[in-house]
Amino acid sequence: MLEFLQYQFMQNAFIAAILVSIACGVVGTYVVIKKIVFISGGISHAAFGGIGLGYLWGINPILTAIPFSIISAILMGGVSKKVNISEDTAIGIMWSVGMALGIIFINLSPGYAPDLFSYLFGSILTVPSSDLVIMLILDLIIIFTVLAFNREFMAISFDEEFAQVIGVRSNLFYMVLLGLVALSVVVLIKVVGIIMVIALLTIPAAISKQFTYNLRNLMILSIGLGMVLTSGGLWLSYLFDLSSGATIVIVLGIAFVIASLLKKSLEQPIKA
Amino acid sequence: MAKNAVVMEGIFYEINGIKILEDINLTIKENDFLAIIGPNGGGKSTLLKIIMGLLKPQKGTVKVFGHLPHESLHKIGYLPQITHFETDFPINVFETVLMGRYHGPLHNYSKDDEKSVLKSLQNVNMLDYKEQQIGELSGGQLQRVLIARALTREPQILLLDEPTASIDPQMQKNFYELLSKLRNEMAVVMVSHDIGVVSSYVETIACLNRRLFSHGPVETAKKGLEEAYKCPIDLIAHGIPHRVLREH
Ligand SMILES: Nc1ncnc2c1ncn2[C@@H]1O[C@H](COP(=O)(O)OP(=O)(O)OP(=O)(O)O)[C@@H](O)[C@H]1O
Ligand SMILES: [Mg+2]
Repeated sequence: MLEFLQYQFMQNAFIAAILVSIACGVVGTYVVIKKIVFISGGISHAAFGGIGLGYLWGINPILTAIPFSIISAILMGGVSKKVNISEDTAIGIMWSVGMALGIIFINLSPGYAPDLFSYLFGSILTVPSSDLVIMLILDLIIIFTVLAFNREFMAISFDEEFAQVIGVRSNLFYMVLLGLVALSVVVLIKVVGIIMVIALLTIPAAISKQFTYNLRNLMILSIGLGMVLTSGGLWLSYLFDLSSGATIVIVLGIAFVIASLLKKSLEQPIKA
Repeated sequence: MAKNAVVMEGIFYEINGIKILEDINLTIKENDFLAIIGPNGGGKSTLLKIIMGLLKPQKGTVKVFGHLPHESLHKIGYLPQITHFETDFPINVFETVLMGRYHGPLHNYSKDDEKSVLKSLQNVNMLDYKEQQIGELSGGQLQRVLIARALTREPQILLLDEPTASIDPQMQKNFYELLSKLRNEMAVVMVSHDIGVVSSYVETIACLNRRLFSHGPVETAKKGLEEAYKCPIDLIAHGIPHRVLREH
């Protein structure tokens, strides 16, 4: 059964699954508890502009996606504070403009765009080792940032006004948090693709949240669940020859339904 | 001579052209025990937020212990008015109160911080609930936890926005007794609708309805209060009959 693991691309795929789970377990937890799912969706789609830029300049699109998604995150989170438009309007604009920019950049690029689909829909089976290194570095940045600033992230997620009263620089740390979302989007792009990134950022944490009220446990559980579910999805996609990104998302979705039912049945009062 | 905790001079605050506060001049001494009363929408919460620098007035100056509000935040304990709270947030009572001890980026909480948290929880009778998830508390219990969160900052001024709103009578009594003790160590400012109870504990009352109507010792303020309330009237809507004032 494990014979498929002997291929280099399969080994890479499983390493990618692990790296991805770390990013979504840690950052996804904040995405879910601070309810920034929509802005995270915006950041992931705007990142497509960065992918297009990579094609245009002829460099690894993952590298250009990093600054692009960070800048769009800051614009989405910051613009609404400066200009008098609501945050969700800013998100909607950046979301679509980012994608449009990506398409224009690709139009302008010489030749045609190979494996463009892998960025849109994910292609965990073709993650090169060099991308794994980038993903690892981004994971490390995420982990160290959260270790350093978990108190601030917790404070602004729980009660933004009180966070300000105790002297937390709310706006600054909100931007840092969005920056982490941007980095995890980049980690995730190759695996599930821009369109489905949000599934990995939300579902593992949303499942775990039903079973623990401790933030650290929530992160650890989300990482573990992410690893099991993405690897499971990967294996199923290999078995049935299906698109890996979509299979992983379906597995996550089913897991969420099962977990919710389980949680509900656990809560049912026992009838005599 | 007691020092000034808060000095507000000529404060004007408006949102989208609508005047919320007009020409507020208010001095709070470091040992004052002040109640701010006034109708809904009178600007009470806004006033507290201006003291903390959460809102910036268009005109006027605010000094807190001689400094700008944001420079004095470490001296302020704040209980927000509870309007709505995230209930399934992954945090327990202890962690919630511990946040009040925040020292700045990269500073871990110390043993002293933890001791102070336990003491504050003890003060509001919530020590037994320290492991409880915040969403599993009743409204009144939550309010007590948030009072502990303000107390654990060991503030020099305590700003309480309707602290007794959902607290039962027994606990209210305990709470006022706690405040009477605390007021020797800090200035206490509380927003309240319950003039009847408040006037038997606090020293000064200010009535706020866009403008500051009367501000002074309870005894002399009573007359002014009545006057002030004749114009806002709202108080009757709070279910507090006028005679309550006369009875005192
Ligand atoms: N974000 C806002 N936008 C527009 N108006 C606002 C905003 N916040 C407050 N106001 C207005 O400011 C006024 C004062 O509000 P504030 O919350 O200070 O009143 P309050 O005295 O605390 O009332 P309550 O007794 O109901 O708590 C109200 O008329 C309210 O409508
Ligand atoms: Mg109010």
